[in-house]
Amino acid sequence: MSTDIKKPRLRRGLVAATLVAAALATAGCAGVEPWERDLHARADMQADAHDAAIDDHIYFSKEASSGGRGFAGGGCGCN
Amino acid sequence: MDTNSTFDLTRDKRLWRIEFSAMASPCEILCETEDLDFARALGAYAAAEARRIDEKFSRYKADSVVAAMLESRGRSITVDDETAKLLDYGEMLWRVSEGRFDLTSGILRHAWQFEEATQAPDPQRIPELMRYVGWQRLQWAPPVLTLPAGMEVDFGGIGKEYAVDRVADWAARESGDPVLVNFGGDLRCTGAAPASGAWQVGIESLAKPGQPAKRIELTSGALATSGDARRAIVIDGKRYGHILDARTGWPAPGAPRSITVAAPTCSQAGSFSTLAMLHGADAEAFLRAENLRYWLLR
Amino acid sequence: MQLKKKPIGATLAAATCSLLGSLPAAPAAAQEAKDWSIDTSLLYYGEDNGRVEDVSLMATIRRIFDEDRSLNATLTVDSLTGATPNGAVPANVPQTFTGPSGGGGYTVEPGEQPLDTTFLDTRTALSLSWQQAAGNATRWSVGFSGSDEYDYLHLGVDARLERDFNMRNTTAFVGLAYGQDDIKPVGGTPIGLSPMAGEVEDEDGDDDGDDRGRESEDSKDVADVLIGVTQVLSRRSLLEVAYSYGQSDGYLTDPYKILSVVDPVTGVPAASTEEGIPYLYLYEKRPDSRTKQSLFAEWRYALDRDSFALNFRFMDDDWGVQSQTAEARYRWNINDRSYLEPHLRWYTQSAADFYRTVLFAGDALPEFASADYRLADLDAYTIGAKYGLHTDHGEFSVRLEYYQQSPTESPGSAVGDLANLDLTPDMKAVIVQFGYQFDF
Repeated sequence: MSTDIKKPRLRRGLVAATLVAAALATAGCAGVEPWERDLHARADMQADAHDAAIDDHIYFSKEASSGGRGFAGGGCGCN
Repeated sequence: MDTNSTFDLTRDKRLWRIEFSAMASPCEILCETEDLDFARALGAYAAAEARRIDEKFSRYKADSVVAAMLESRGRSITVDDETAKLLDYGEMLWRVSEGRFDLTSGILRHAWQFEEATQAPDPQRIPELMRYVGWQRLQWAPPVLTLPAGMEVDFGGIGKEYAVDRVADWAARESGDPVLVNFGGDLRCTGAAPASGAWQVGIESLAKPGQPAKRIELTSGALATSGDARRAIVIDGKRYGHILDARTGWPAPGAPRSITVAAPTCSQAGSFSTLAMLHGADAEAFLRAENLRYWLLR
Repeated sequence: MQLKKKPIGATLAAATCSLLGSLPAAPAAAQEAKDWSIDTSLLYYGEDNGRVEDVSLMATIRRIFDEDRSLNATLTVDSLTGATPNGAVPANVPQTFTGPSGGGGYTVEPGEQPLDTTFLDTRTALSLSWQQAAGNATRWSVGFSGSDEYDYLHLGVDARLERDFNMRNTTAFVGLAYGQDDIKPVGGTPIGLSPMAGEVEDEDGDDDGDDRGRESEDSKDVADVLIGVTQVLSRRSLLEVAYSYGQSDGYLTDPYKILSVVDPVTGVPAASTEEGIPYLYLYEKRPDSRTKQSLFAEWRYALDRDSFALNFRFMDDDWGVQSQTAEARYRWNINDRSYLEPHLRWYTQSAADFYRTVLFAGDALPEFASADYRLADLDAYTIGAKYGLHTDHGEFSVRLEYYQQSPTESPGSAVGDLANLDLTPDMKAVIVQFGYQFDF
């Protein structure tokens, strides 16, 4: 009986996609001057870690995926 | 070489730090720039300007404006444009403070001697000196000043903040880079907020000198502090600060130990903090009525 | 003395302009840096049809030492009640199941989705992290996390490094996490794909299953690596992209979940081979390793008053699950003090290779199988909104969300009787969260 565990598909594809996305992000961004970053300092432009952690935990318990932008946090017996 | 414009320039993490002594205070300027030429020019201008103002209005220099006023002995003298503006400003403060703040009150230092700090003032000295205190006794018809003999004009209460503003205005005209001008705790920032988001300023703790009691994040404008932490007399457990009410010759009763005010310019911040101290026990009421952001330690 | 004095601010401002010979300066912006920042929330999560309910209390405490160093602690306590699907499918007859401890059996009516009502637990979790700056453009953090519940203990460590480039327009980050979880199920860990037995006396009273020939505990370890970049695109927008790779090894099976075995033509439950239980159910079995990768991107855009964010995550693993998640949030800053933030989330996943809604009597035993609906083909969406109100001391918030999930049965499952039953009912849940955040 052969072990039927599939190797991660599209592994190279996924890494390549991230690198392309990152390169597109950084290209053509010669620089936004510090005094032009006033809007970025606004509270609503910061990521809300507290709510994101709560949501992450809920969806980790109810779906097969987890994390993405950060670590999922801790394990639990809920999945 | 012009020794008046010497200063130290060092790199501190992501900032250029300019340091020099002037106006009996440690002066520093923090500047976040890639342009070393600008940092050098800023240091040279700031050091030269601070010392120029210091010497021009010094009590101790024979060729200063203040010395000229003392020597006039009642004769009318014509003052230059800059001195005229400072006298106008002083007169405005005298008027809005109802006489509490007065550029002629410097003479009271002879009674108080804060540097030596242990003795109560001689009770007879104050009324004697008060004969020479009072803006109402002089005549100021710009640009002509007639100062009665025995009176003096002391710009110490507004000079440092004025110097900070002069340097800050120059920096803002020359560059949009973030700059913080700090002359002995009276400070103002110009240009963009620094990369860290804000200038971190500490208000010195009264219990633990040298350590911050509060941390303030400044992104625009100026902060000035009035307080008795360094210059005060303690007599029988009672503390007498060095900011004297010109109407009485004594510090305002119930004055807080320290007041820090935020305002658009250092001159405004310094004036508000001094006037608040002169309101003594009513300092908070005064600051609230003026809708100011302030920190007060009692 | 005078009674009401006119404010002198305007006079001072005008006089300063004359003194300095300059235009009025911009207003001062100065605020006290706060040493402590506390964020608390009370959350209620409730599913329909008597299913899972969770109430949790969470507090994040942050102590800022100076602009370069801070300590974060998060404490969470949650209490789970209600019932969860045990993996078996409904039938036209009543079904009886044995509880995990070997006792505590429960019966489910015909047509009803079998739910395990013994599912209740309280979980406490603590995580700590220290953040520090090193030099002008670098920051690192290290952390510890742990959680404890009746049958599960998690311990983990993590570290993260960030560096700014390009006048802080670009920030690159990399993170590592490692965790070890110990599972001590009630009744021990059942042997995968073995039949559920009838009720038995727990002979030594310790509920750990070793008197039934089971292992009392097992463990798994999880390692994750994360790498990404945040890029300021313009004055108004930024983009964050992250790639993560995770590996889990050890006991990955859910010890409480089973699969129904039914007749391949009639869909009637097959008779049990065990005494004391009428029908045949097999405990699930998952592989002992799982490799996951995901790609995440978020774009945030600031309007003059409002802002919005869109994010997308693609996940792929070696169990055959592939998922896509998309979210949109719009922040409507009503005024200086309050905001409303509607939120939409859409999720879809493909089933794990070994997901089976039912097993058929007479078929060869698969190597791995699970009927856990969370590994099925499913679509889900969330719609909700958050309202926030700033007061002088902090910020109150209320969040209300509706979550609906629709799993799909594995192809060919709906044979005979099962064609008229809902084998994978939709799950609907409501989330209500109250929060209070303050600094001092």
